Amino acid sequence: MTPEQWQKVRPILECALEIEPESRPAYIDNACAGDEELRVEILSLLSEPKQSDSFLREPALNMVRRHMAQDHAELDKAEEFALIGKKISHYQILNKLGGGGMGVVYEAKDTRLGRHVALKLLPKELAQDAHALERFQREARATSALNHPHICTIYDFGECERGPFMVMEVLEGSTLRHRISGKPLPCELVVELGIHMADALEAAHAKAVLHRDITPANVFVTQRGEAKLLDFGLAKLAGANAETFVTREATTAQHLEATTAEHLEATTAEHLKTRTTEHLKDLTFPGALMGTAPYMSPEQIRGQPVDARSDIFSCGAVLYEMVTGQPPFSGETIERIREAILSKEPASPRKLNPHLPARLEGVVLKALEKERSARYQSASDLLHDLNEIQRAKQRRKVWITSAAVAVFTLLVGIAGVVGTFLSKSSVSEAPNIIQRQITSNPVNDSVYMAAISREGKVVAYTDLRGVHVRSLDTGAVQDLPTSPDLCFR
Amino acid sequence: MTAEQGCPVSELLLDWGNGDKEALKEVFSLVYHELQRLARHQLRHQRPNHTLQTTGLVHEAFLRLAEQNSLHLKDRAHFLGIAAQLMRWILVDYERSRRAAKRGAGATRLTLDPSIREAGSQSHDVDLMALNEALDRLAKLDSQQSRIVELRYFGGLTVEDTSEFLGISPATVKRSWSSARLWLQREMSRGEART
Repeated sequence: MTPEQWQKVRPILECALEIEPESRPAYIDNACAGDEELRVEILSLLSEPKQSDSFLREPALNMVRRHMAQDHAELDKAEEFALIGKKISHYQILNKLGGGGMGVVYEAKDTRLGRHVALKLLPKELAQDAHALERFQREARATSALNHPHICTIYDFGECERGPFMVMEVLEGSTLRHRISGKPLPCELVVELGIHMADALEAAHAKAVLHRDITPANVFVTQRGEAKLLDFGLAKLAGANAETFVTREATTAQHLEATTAEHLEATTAEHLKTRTTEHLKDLTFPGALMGTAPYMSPEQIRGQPVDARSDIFSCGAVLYEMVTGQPPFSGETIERIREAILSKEPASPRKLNPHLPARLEGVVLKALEKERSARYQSASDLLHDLNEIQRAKQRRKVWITSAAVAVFTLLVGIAGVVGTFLSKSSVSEAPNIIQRQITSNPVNDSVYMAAISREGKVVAYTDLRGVHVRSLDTGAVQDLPTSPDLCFR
Repeated sequence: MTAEQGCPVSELLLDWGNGDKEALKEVFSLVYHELQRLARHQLRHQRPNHTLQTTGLVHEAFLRLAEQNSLHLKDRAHFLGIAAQLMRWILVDYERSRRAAKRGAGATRLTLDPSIREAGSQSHDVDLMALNEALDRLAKLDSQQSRIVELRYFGGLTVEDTSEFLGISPATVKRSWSSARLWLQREMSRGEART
């Protein structure tokens, strides 16, 4: 086709596209005015069999980004497959348990001790990364310093050709994030798991270890219903020095900044660098960043030094999500989430979950106070209040249970008496019944009351003269001494 | 973003703003060649996400630069046109290397997990190499139409932006865009039939 031909085709084609499909042939016939070649060309373009409305609708960059994500997944899968069955140190890799941006976790067998363990490996591209490496080592060190039933136990740490690895206890169950999945958890479970979390934090804080990244994804709920705190990757020894603690977000941003800067260095595009750095803050990167931002404390966001109370805030945010099914602060971008954490009050938990007891709501909101002096001052305080709620619940339970038991006993008692009576009567029907006169009182002094002893050996009876006991075997009567002012009538 | 920062790109852009048409070419080749080199390097040696991240960021940076008041409207159009062209080259280049990498590694990877490979290609995915060639042919018929496709598809510009930058009405942009899409689709399916 020549440009001249195309300039003839175009206007007719474009007009045809703007009218209803059924009127097109007539219009084209008319517009082409007998130019058969032109008509055929236009019809050919309009009847293109591969014509699709979605063609070029999606920007090229999006498509290529999607391709890249697929390439990524492919590489990941290939690597996972490649590792299964292999040995890392004396650990035989069995299968993949899960994985996030900061590490892939495999189920492995410790061939020396014969037990199953979880082996966490840094993703390949991060194994060369100093930030990630440091973080990984810090996690291992911080966690191994803590020996607590609600903190995942670290068994071993080592290096292999794929990079550093960490060996931990195998946990069966799911993360809290998975458990919540948008729905509130039963309040009793929240209290129970909250106690475990606060207990773990109390132990960590006692050893001057701050977690700094408490999120529903970092709390594991075992099949036995116990919470285990995971991922001390951002943990820091509190008060080790006066430095401002770097949040994960900042770390990621810095890391990306460094990466991008490095890439652009060759172009020496200094100002592009500043631009992109600035821009990084608004961009939403999938994964780690978005997952963590909603649980950061205001002081963490401001980049101020953090202490145990920052962990309390994050714990409060997690508790909030447990009781309502949604995080306390949300937004489309990280900026929005940060703004919300800094200045917005979270929606009332009881409005979102009417079953939530006021007392538990109070605990959640106190942990979530923006001003840290208004928050729980320590994990022990939080633990105390959660324990109180549980105890109160148990007391109520005991009361209700004992009341129920009492009623039950009463019913059983009645049933027993009736039963005994019925069974007695039914039993007495079976054997031969012999009537026997036990007492032989005169008519003017008849027996007023009588009772047979339990073992059936004596009968006690009263008459006008007093109380008497008579042996059923011998018939011997014994008079019991009574006071003269006792009257039996 | 002033000359005091002393970085080549902004200086070059200022020069360009002052009428030095060669300056923009220099910016262009400076950024483009580096990105291309990185794309190739990363595809071969490691995961390529950083390249695209960088590409996306540079693109955003270009768009932001275009919003600078110091740029005249005409220059701005020119500038965005260049950014879109840059994106076109980078993305086509990426897809080309990706295909080559797949051909190389495909045989071993195929046996590992076929489900992923199937999920990898979607029916509405555009063959960027074929599109690139078809777009070159369209440019010979109507360079403005080819430009519109470049701006909209590779540069990610809206109809309104495109119309403003090209100094034509939005209705013209829309009409040109739809006839160009038809032409390109036919051209690409003919290309497929030939191979």
